[in-house]
Amino acid sequence: MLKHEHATGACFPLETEVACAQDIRVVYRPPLAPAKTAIVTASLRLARGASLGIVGPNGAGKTTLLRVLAGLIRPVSGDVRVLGLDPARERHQLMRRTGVLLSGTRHFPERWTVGDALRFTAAFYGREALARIPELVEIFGLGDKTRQQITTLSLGNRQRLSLAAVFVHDPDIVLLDEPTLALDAETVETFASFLRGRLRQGKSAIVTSHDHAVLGRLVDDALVIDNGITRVPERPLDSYARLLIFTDRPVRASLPPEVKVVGERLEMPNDPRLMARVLDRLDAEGVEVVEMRTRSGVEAVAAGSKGGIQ
Amino acid sequence: MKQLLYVAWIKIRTDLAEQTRYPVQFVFGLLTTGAMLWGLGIAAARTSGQSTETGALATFIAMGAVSLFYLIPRALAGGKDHPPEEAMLYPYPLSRLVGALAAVSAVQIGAGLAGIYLLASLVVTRSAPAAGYVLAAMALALFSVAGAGLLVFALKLVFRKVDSVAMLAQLALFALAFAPTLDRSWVAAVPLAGAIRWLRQPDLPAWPVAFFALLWLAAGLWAVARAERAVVDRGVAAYG
Repeated sequence: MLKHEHATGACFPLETEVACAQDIRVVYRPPLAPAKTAIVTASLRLARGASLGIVGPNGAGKTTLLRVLAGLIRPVSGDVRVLGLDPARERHQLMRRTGVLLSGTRHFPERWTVGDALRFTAAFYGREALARIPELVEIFGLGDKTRQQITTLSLGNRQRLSLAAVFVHDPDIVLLDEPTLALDAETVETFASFLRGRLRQGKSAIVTSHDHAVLGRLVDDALVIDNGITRVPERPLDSYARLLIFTDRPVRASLPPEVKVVGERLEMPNDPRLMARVLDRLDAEGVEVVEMRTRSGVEAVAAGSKGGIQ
Repeated sequence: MKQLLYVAWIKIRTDLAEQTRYPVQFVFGLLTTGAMLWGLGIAAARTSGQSTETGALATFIAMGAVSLFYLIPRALAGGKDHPPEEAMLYPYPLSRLVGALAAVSAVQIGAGLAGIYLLASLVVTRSAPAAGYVLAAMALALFSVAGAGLLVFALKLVFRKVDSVAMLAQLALFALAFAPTLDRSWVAAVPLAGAIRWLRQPDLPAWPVAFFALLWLAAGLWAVARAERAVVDRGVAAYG
C-alpha cells in the first residue's frame, strides 16, 4: 500500500496503484463569470485495495478533487491518472470501471420506481450489471421498495438507492462524496462492511464525509485538504487514534506523559495497557469516569486540520 | 450504439408507463391533442388555400418537430432528473447519449402523432390517408429539427441560462413553417419549414431537405462534443 508518500514528478502507471494526482491546480472558469481557483496544489496516491478519506472544512476542495479524479474537470496544471487513464481525456472508458457519487446523491425522475432507476443505470453497463440488481437491492435494504416511486422514499432510502446505483457495475474504484448522508446507524454499518468486503477483493475507494467518526469506519488512510492545498498526515493513521475519557471533575493525579489532560477530559493513545494504568490511578484518586469513547485516526487528523487536539 | 438505444428505450418506456398509470388523463390527452391539432389544421388550410387534410397534417408535423426540438435540450440537462454532471458519469460521450435519446424520442413522438393523425383523419374524412406519405413527412420534419435541438443542447450545456433563447427559436421554427416565404428554394435548409414545404408540394424532391437536415445534425453533434470538452476544461458542469 502506498501510504504517506509525497510523490515527485508526474504520475507513473504502477501495477499496484489505482489513482494518482500530482501537483494539480484547478480553476473554475465559467463563461461570462469570474474565474475561481478551487485547488491550489493537490497530490494523492491510492493503491489497489486501499481506501482513502479526504477531510477538510467546507469549501476546502474535497468535492472538486473527486470531480478531477472522475474526469469532470481538467486541471490547469499537474498530472492525474486513475486506473492508468487520463480522466479528463478518457472519461468514458474510466466510467466503465469507476463508480461516482457527488454531493451525496444521484438524481432520478421522481415518479420512476426504485427498480426503474436501477434498471436504467445498469442498462448502460450491460447484462452483468442488470443481473447484479437483485443482490444490491438486498444489500442496501431496498427489497420491498423496488416498485415504490422515488417521490415516496425517505431521505435515507433515496441515499440507499443512490449507493446501489453507484455499485451496479461492480466498479474497480469508487469516488464517494458524502455517501452516508441521512443513513441510519445500522445502514452505515452495513455499508461499511460492504465497502470493506470490496477492499478485500482488491477494489479501492476514495471517500469524503463531514461525519469523521463514520469516515473512520470506511477508510484506512486520510488526506487533509484545506484552502485548496492537500496535506498528508505525518504518521500512519492508526497512530492518531485516541481514547477519550471524560471524568466527573478535573484530574490532578500524576498520569503517564502520553496522556493529555484538558480539564475533565483525558486524551491518550488507544492502548489497552495504558488505559488500564490510567483507570487505576483515577480509581485511586476517587475520580469517576463519566464517559469513554475512541476517536478514530481520521477524526483526530480532521480535528487537527481545524486546529483541534491531535 | 445498440446498448444506448436500449437505455433510451428504457427511459422512454418508463416515462410512458408513468403516464399510463393515469389512463383517463392519458386517453383524454390523446383525444384533445387530436381534436386541437385537427382544428388548427383546418384554420391553417383555410388561410393557406391547402386541403383540410394537408393543413391538418402540417399542424401535426409541426407539433411533432417542435416537441422534439423542445425535448432534446431538456433530455439530459433539464431539471434535476439527470443534471449534466451526472449524465457525464455514464460511460458514453454526451453526443452519443443525447443522440440516442433524441432518436428514440423522435420515433416515439413521430409514431404517436402520426397515429393520432391517421385515426383523426379516418374519423373525420371516413377515408384512410396514405400512411407512407404521412410517415415520410413526419420523419423528414423530425429529422430536420434534430440538429437544431442538439445545438441548443450544446449551448445550454455551457451557458445554462438559454431557455428564453430556445423558446424564441421554437417560435421562429413554428412561424417560418407557416410563413409566406415557404415558396422560396432556400427554405429547404430551414428546419421544419423545408419539410412542411415538401408536404405541401410533394412533387418537389425531398433530398435537399434531408441533405440540409444531415448538415444540421452533423453541426449539432459536433457542437455537443465541443460543449462537452468546454465543460470539462472550464469545470462548468459542476459550477451550475
